[in-house]
Amino acid sequence: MNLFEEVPYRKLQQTTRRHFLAQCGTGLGALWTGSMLGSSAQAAGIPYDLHHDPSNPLSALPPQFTAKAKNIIFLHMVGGPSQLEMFDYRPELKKVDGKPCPPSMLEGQNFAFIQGTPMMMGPQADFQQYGQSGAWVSEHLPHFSKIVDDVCFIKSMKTDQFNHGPAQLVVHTGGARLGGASAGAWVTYGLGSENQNLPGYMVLLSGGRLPRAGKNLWGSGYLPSVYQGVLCRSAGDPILNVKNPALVPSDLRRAALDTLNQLNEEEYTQSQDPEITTRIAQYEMAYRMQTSVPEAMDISDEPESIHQLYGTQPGKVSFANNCLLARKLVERGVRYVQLFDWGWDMHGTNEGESLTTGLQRKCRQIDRPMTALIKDLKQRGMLEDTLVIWGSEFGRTPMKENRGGQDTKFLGRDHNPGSCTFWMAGAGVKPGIVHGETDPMGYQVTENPVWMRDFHATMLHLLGMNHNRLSFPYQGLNQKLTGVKSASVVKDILS
Amino acid sequence: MRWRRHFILSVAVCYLISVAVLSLSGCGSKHSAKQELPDIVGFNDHVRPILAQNCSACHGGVKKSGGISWVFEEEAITTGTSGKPSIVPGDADASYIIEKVTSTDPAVRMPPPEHGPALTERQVALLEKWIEQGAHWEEHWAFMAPEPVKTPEINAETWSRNEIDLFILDRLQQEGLSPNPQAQKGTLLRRVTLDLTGVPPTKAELDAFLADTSDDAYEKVVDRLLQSPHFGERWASMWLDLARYADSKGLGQDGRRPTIYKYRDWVIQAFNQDMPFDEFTIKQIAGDLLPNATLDDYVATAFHRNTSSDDEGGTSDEEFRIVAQMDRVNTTWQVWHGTTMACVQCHSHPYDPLRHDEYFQFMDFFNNTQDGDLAAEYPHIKVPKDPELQQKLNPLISQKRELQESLWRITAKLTAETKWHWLSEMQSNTNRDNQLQYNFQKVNGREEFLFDGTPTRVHQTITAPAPEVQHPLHALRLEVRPDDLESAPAAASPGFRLDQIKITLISQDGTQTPIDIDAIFRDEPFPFLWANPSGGTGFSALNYIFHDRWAVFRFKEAVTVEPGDQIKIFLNHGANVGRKDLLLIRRGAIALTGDARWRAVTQQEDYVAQNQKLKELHQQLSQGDQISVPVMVERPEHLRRVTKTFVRGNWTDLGEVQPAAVPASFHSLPDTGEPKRLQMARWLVDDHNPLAARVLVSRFWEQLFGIGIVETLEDFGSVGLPPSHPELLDYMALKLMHDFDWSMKSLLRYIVTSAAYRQDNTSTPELNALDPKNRLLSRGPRVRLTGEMIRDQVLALGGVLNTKMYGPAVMPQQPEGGWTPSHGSAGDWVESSQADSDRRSIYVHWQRSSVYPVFTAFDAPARELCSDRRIQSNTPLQPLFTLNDPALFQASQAFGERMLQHEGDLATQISYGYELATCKTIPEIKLQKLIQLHGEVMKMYPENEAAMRAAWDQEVERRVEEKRYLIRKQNNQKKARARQKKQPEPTDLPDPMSIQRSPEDEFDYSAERAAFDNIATVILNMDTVLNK
Amino acid sequence: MYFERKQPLSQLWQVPLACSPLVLLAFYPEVGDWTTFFGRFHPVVLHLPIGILLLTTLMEVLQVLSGGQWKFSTRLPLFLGAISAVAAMVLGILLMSGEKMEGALIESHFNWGIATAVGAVLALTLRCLPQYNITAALPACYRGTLILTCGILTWASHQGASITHGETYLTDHIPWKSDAPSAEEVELASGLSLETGEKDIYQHVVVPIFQSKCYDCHMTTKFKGELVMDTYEGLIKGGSTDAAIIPNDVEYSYAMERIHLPLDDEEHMPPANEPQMSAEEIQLIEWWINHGAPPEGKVASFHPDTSVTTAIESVSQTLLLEMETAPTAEIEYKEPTVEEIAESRAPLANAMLTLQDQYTGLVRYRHAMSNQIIVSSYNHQWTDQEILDLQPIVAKVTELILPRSQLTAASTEVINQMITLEVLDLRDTTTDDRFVQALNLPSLQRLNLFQTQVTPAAIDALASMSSLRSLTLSYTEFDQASIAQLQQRLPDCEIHFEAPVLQASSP
Repeated sequence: MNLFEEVPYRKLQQTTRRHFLAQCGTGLGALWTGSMLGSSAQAAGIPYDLHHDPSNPLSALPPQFTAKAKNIIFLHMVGGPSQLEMFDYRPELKKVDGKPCPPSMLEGQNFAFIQGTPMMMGPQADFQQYGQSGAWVSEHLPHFSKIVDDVCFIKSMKTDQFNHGPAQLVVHTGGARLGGASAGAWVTYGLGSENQNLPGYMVLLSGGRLPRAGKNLWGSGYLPSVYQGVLCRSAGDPILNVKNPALVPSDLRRAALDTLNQLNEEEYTQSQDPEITTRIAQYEMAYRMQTSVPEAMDISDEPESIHQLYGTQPGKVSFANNCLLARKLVERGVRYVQLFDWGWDMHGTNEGESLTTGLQRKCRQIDRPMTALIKDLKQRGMLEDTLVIWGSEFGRTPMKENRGGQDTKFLGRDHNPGSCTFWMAGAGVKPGIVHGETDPMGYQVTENPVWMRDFHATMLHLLGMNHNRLSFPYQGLNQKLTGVKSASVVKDILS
Repeated sequence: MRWRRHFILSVAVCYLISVAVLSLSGCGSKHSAKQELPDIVGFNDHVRPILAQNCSACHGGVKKSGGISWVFEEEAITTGTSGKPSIVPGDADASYIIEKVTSTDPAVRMPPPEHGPALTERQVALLEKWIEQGAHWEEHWAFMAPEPVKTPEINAETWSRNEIDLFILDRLQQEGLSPNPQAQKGTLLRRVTLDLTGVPPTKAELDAFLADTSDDAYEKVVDRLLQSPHFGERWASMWLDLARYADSKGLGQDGRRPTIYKYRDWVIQAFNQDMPFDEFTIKQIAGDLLPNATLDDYVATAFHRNTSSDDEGGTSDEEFRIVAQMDRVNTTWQVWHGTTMACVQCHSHPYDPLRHDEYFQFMDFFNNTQDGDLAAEYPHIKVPKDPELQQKLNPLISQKRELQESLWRITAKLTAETKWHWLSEMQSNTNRDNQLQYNFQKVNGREEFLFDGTPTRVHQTITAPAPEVQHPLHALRLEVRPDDLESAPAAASPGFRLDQIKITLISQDGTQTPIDIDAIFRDEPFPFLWANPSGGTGFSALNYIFHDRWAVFRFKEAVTVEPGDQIKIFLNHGANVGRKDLLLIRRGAIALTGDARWRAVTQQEDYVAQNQKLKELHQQLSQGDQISVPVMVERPEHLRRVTKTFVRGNWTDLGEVQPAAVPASFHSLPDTGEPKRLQMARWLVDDHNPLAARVLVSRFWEQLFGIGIVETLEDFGSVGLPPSHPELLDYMALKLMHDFDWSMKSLLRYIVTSAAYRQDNTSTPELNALDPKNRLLSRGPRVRLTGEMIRDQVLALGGVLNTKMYGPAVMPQQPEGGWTPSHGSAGDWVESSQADSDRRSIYVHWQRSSVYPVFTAFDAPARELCSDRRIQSNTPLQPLFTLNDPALFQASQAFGERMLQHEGDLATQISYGYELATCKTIPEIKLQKLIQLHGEVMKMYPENEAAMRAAWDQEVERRVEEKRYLIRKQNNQKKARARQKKQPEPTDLPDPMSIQRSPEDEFDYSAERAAFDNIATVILNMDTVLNK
Repeated sequence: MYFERKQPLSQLWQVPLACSPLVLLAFYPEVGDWTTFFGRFHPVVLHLPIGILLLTTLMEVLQVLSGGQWKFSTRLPLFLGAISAVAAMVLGILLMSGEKMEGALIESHFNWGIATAVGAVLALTLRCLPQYNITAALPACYRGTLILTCGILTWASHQGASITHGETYLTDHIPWKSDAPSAEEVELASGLSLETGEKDIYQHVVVPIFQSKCYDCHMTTKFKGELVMDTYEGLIKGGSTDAAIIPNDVEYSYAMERIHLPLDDEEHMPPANEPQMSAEEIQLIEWWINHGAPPEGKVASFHPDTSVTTAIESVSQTLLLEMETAPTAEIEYKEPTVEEIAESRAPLANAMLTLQDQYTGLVRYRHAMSNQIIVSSYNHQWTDQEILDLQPIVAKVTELILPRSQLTAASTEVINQMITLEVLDLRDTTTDDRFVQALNLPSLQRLNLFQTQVTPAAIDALASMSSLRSLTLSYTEFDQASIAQLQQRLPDCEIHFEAPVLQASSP
């Protein structure tokens, strides 16, 4: 059987498989759940039975129930921006400014750098209420303050890690240990990709450095490696080796690929290894990616009005460019776009890491672009399908940092896993609300705590999947993004 | 009327019975399910899978719901909290389990509806039959030592070449399949050469083999390959995945490990010398504890120094030391037992017979090593860079350490015998009195100073009345104590580092006479930092302290004290090196002695003699330029740590003490009286070990056939996949242990000389459907090469592979944007010289947070943790590498050039290249296609040349600019560093502009070369070439 | 005539025999496990009399109606009916005593059950009498009794069903039932929504919790373990074992003890497979007990600390949420069976298969259990020609996501047939006014015309799409004025409109 007979043959196999699916709906996984259990199946975490197309494991799959969101854009401010200078207005904290921190707040807490008895430090920014929702936003975010009514704030995010690496792993893989699968990988595993000429899960960096936990944050862990995030650069080659070598113009390459395919088809008739047909397909997709990825990653063709809206400058690496790119990618059906913006670790050890200059600089960098992203998605009618998430690995302490028992040169705060602020906008979340509350010091969550795992559960729910059932068998356990502790969907923020 | 009552009663009874029958009739079909049950229901074959799959989640090691667990017999066949016997051997109906699984009441049924589906009728029937047959419990096959198996009898077959084939053939015949004939000679040569050496055969080797018509031509080749130095390089790369070897530390900052490569070289050598696997094991786990350990033996122990370590500010060194210890336990079990231990650190194993406490008993084997997540990666061993020299110095190290120890024992003994006068009525002040104050307390007659607060850089001055002794004073003893002596051995206190000590005598008239120190005697024979009497430094415990620590500072001359004299001790507590827990003496006491033996002790001639010898040895050992390799070193007995259970895996919540031991369900520790860790190492490769040999065989099988006899190399336990050929697995395991005496080369030779391995690898759609993963081996292996092999192959075919062995890691060209480590401390990717760039992949720098992209694209792990196998993917990113990666493209150009330079016409040249790459003669049709391509390119070239030239120049510019930028960056760093140190800026910095376009950067290209480059690309990307 | 045939004398012995199951009453009220053991057969046996007696009656009725044309022998069925009725009754009694079931509902089921058995036996007796020719009316009496018995039986079994399936089991899904909340629900809800301080500690805090978690098995009308929880007295009195609630004494309040048992303990309450109490709910109950478990009193008067007040709020919230989301939750959680899905997909299954092969990944079901279809393409620009291929599935298409495709008004012909189409995304396409004017989609909710050639000329067409909820017109020829105009005519529709204006770049 040569390839040309083989292709219909494989199609037949697939067709029979699909036919089976058409007859069996969700497939065997649901056979008894449906007929015997019904209600408890969801709670029970009976694994979904996902049928990936063997020749193209990334082809799109339907969600498990009606999905509010189709795409995710996750803006991660690497280092832990200070909620106390941005969103979580704490007038009480101002009153105790400069007073020594009561021991009760220190007991049983881990700090990266704080030692002995630090001093409390009031908010280093002025706040005002905006919009109908009357959300408090600091003076550092003048643009953003105009769209608070499109945004849902979660002031009660909590994590259990106080160091960057582990905490970041928790945000993106659900666990502090290496080797887990990232949320984006889970999502592409569960839903596939809408655009076969682009990776389904793309990662963009700005701010000069990678987050601590590095590639693990978008790795596929125990999931098949096709689902890992693809790191794209917004300047130079967007993805590794996407550009032909200087000496290979594309029509020469085309000629070579045609020959290669013929040779491989020959090879297939010999050895009959189905992997070959897959490989041929991958070479073709690679070829298409060589044009589609640079095209998608090139913002120079955007109109001037858009550049002004975002404050973008083509050709340089910036958070603004990445926001615009995020929109372009989602527009082209990329399922999960992950942005990392480095440089939010305001310890006060130097001016760049100070709550005064440093934080203001970073806020200026993101204020206009992230606002523009929301506006732009909205004006394109895409915000209804796209969930935009802004967050970080943890918040910061209401105490002033005192490294080695001495005051740092500039104003800084230490890591605080006890509370931090996320905001979300778009598909399926209530706009213009604030969820959760922190204590008057903005130190610990007092109301509706949302653990990272709850946040994951909610995200998957919006994408039409139940976090208990999206699982993968590995080392004898059904691994889940939300891990072993029980997680719950944050119903209050769902629209 | 009695008969009437009887009558009524009997009717009533019949009535009930009939109703009962009716109500049961619903499950009548169950009996039909019973029909086609096996005659003997085996626990492992039939029952365990049912339990592990449906029940162990709640009735396993994690949760023993209702007091029942299906992991251990005594917890399974018993009465749980219900008080009803779970299983009554021989009586299914009396067994509560049957009642539970068959119940129709959702509140009663097991598994509960919200946990999972009811057991199928067949499953229930199996359970029942198993119970009725007496409920005979069996340990999981993998935890029972392999029994001798006799090879299958197969009459009238000419195919098999050794026992392996008999097992394979037997199974094939059962499935009604027949094996493929032997592959073409060329194909076979390429396969075995790649498998054994990781590089393709040379043309000469190919011709020689084709020419050699003798029967054992193939065997000869195999033997040649096993002797090749490349053998070690290829098989080391498989082992390094397991050893999680990398040239960086991983975790937060992923700083470099510049010297660990010595371990990598050791592994290569070990494979090349065919070091038996048992020896190979023992040296890596406990080489440091071997009698007369050599430098090599120490280097081998770096196996467990490959653990990630965290230099990030604020992290607790003790916490990450423990993380590393756990990783050691997990890795050891993963590598030698194919068993997942990670889950046991929080609770008993969910489905395998390993108890929670046993995890920590096993951890105790490792828990007494000196290392402790220090940025400096102590302890080190100094080895010469030069491998030859290293061989020469090998034996000296143990002699040296023995001397050090015996010298140390002398002073340690003296310290114990000496009568110490503890200072009392101490007063203390520091330069940080605002941040801390000292308290004093008397603990059984000895006055101690304690501190309270969290400052750094403390300079402390203690004054106290000198003790009234007849003799002049000879020495001072400084004692440092953990916060809580009782709990310390398991829950330590932060360590300390004494940077300086100054002792002064203040006589009544107030004159101050400084007392010089001429020697420091420590409480451990092998401290991290050596003493420096003049500064008083050298007394430190850089990680935590688990016991009282002491040092004796001997005075240069004897000091006579008058009554009323005061003694003043100045302590510089050293700096906090960016840690949450300060280096600071938090609790201590000071004593003086007039014991004159302290003067004499270093004069005794045996001391002098030994000291002399030591100096000489030290001289010899420090020849050549040396590097310090992190290794395992055991702490002395009196400083031993104590391991306790971490309740639910929380290292701060300590349970029972757990002395070193191996899990009860395994064979017992061979009691050799040696140190525990060494015993454990021997235990791993003990003949009674059910797993080590099986796992190794399965690993090698996976390397050669693409899939292990047990597919789940990471899990041989209850939920792992069953072996494809159980008997063969045991047969080979026993052969490896007894016939081959653990010789890995022999094992490999055995496998690759089998007929199964030599098969032709063509398949058919039917076979693909029947046996997609080719587990039955009805066809030869067809496996994609690893990233390393693909790179090495291109270099080899391009004729540019540099076969230089050993030494520091090299950094070949990265694709644009390829170098993205997670943190600045990972340093820069400084491209190596062309020659070094063309060295084999095993020598390429391995940065955990930014692995060389070619490798990751082809499924290489980051090596942060032990990884058993590389699950192969087939993604569109892979072609981008094989087609466009600059380094690979360069090599493939060399390959094109090689064809071009070859004698003969176009057809000959192409055929030559094709044969090089595939070891097959090119089929006419393929030849035509390539010739056609040649023509097309020749035609296209002219109108493309301009564009190519432009692109080329642009690329050259970019590369030049990149290099210049790197130099500027490094210059600035150097200047900055100088400025910090308040030194003048270095002047001898390289000039960025020294990087200029070199002649070979000039665009010099032709249609002919373009044509051959494209032909090269095609050949090197053919599926045949990417596979073996 | 039917009765003339002489019958053997030994007819009446059937009667005592039919009553034989009464011997089982020997196990009443409580003989070890036996009572429960036999009792548990009640559900099995009770179906026999129902079936048999109804059948017998049917036979008799037919016989009469057919004027004796059809003859059935009803002797055996009648006998079996009677004996099974007695058995069912006896077993029922055993079950009741074994399981300690009490309450009004149980009581009456008990009585009606007995009545059924008596009726059946009576009927049997009458059926056996005729040989003595007492009166000619006998057959009529007999048939009357039989029919009457059936009536009783029906009522009894209905009550039985209510006990097992809950009283509203039948009425829940009456088509004509209004989903207006019942009086109790309203009262409960209003209680829950009171100010925390204003709430009554028992009525508005404790009761709702018990109601949601305990009443199913412990209410006056039917309860297990002799425990009634829907009255204050019941709580204090407690059940078979011990007082459920002992004021000021959480530790000895048996209810709390049971609640605190580990989930996998058989004694644990509520039963493992039922919804469990949340930590906050438990906290509140204990808080109430510790304040003397008063039957009434304002929460505020017990000076709750913040943790309690927050707990009260969140619990009330969740309970309220449960009340409203109960029906919706049911929908989300009710997973259709494989067969149902397959069935619902069957009509278009084959058409889908062909399309899925033709447009891999572009055409798919809305979700794993839905039979609605989504067509979305991001790397494939659809043409009018290709739209025609969708013809076979138009009935089920709910979303058309076709950015950057090349459609003209021609394809509206097919699109208009997608009567269930909810989302039509045509951003960055050549869509023009003619296209929009040609559209006629009754259920269209979202229309995205971003950066298309649509002009204000299409206002009427757009305004006619009354079902629209979201309309995107940014980067089109529209201007603020025309948008305002359109918005007036589509009041319920959110219109996204931004013109590509160059702002003076501000810092």
